[in-house]
Amino acid sequence: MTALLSAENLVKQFTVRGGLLAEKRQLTAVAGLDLELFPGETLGLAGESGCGKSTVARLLTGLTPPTQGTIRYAGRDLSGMDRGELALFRKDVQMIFQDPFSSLNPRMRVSEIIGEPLAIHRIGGAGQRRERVAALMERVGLSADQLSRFPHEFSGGQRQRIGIARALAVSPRLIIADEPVSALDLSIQAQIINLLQEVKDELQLSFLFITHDLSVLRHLSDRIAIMYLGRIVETGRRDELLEAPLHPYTEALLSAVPSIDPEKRRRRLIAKGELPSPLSPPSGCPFHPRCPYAQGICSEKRPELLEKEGGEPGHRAACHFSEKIYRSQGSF
Amino acid sequence: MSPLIEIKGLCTEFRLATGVLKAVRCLDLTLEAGETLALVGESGCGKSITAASIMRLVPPPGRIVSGSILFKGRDLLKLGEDEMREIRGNRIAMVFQDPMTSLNPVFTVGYQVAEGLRIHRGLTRDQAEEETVGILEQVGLPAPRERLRDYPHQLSGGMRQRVMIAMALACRPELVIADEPTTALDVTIQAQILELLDRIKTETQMGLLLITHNLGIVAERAHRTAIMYAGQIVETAVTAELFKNPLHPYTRGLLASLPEFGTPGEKLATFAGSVPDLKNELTGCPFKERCPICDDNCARESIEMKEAGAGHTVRCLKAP
Repeated sequence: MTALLSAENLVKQFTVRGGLLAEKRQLTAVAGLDLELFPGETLGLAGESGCGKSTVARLLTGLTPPTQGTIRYAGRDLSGMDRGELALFRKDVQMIFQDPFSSLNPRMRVSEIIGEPLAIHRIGGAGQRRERVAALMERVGLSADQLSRFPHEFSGGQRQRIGIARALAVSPRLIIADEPVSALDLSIQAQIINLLQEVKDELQLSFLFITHDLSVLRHLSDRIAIMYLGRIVETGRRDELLEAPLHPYTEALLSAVPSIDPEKRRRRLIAKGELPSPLSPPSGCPFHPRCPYAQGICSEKRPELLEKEGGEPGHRAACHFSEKIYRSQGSF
Repeated sequence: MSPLIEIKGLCTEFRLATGVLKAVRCLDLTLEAGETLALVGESGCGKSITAASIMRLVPPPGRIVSGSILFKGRDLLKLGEDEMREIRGNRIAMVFQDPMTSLNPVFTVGYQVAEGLRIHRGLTRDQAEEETVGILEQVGLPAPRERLRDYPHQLSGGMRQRVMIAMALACRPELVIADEPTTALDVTIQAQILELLDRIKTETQMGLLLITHNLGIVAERAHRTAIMYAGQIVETAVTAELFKNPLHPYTRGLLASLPEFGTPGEKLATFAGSVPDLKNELTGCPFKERCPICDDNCARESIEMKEAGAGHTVRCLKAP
């Protein structure tokens, strides 16, 4: 099966300047990332703040050009697309944002917000658009009577529904959702998760779901990719990755999540210290300064993202010692 | 022995141009020394206003209209402002959610941690500085002596939260109120901060009122849990008992809606409707519009807390 969207050796650097006279420095937000997303699947991308998740979202939607590397949509290189192809790509790939407050224009009525993508892509006449917008409102669980209201008249959960309706307006094939539920209250979170799952099944969408919440990830994803300092450190099928992780960072992340079920609580592996600055990433394996298993080689040689002995095909990890740590008895 | 803190019938209101908003409605709560009590609820339920009431820092136009807050038997609501200042930051301290906005950007972190020591314990500048280095070390700030002259913006989120905790612990308080202390942090840092709070609590036998909406944290860290809805406590129990045997339909709904308990790919349980407007007079149970098991009585009667087992109380007519 060919991937719907794929990234190869994706790099994004930003130039930053410390102060007026300080030298310019390169901040590498995404440092050689490979990713494949297949039709109809939900890929969950997880990592802590500052690991480059949101930059990946901006790169994959074409909002920011990569410094290096290739993005392919349905087999076609994004950088080689002509205007027509690009327009189609931008219609097919839609985005849902984290903050339901800042991602809706406060001066636009809801009907204009949801209708804008239709107008931009010149879909339908005015009458058809009105009908479509009303239908979308109902689909996401809001009333079509509320169409002439402004965003501030809605609660956070309702606004997130408006953001979803806007993303669905032009019948996309792929939705990239960047932390769509983390700003919401518990009971509202469940409603939005259900809505996303429903529209995905109904419209046979592919999803790239970016979040730091592993319980949400477990609920929604088919496959999971774990990011650390601009790189994927582990990727695999959901159950395989969550139950038999092959990277110490994944283990630390999983064991840090507080669990209600005492039986699910794991031996706690606490990652030491904090995420290093992407301005001066550690040598070798980016996780080695925080890793309890680190050895000499870890600070010298960066491990490749590879399948490991004893893991299932497609389950890859970037660690020199995966087999030793996770496939033999305990650790060394 | 009297509890460390005992809140009885606390009511806090905000007089707004559009009406009176009753944020906390006759709230009862007790906390023993050495205990962690979690106060759980969704935004707007009155958790933070309860914390502000204990500290007597309710922002205007809010005010405490009735009730008592006994701290080791003394009613905080009857103290003068001078007496309250002796307690605030000294015997009762607070850790806030967002360390970026709750630290003062124009003072060094060393100064801010030392401030309480100089005011409450009368230490000199040098003594306070020495003490500060020790406290910062205790909360796990790397290279504390070099950090004294840093301003908050020079620290990462996790380090700022450690500084906040250091400020709160500086005077060895008997009660710490932590309002969403880890919500702004990543999970691996969150785990470090929670370990830290737990360790210090065990060492000093302080009481910890942990305000959060993260039920995973509650399950792992709190001895007892109180669930809050629309300004009232609706259920309270020992944490393990509450999760095993939730009685209030709101508690049940909250637990059922967690992705952790759902089957991947299947629907999560949700409840209809939204929280009631606290500006309206609420008659009967505030949860009745969203409740799957309510009947006519729920709208009529005012509902009292009832005992449902050892240390397990619930505010519901229909609960077993």
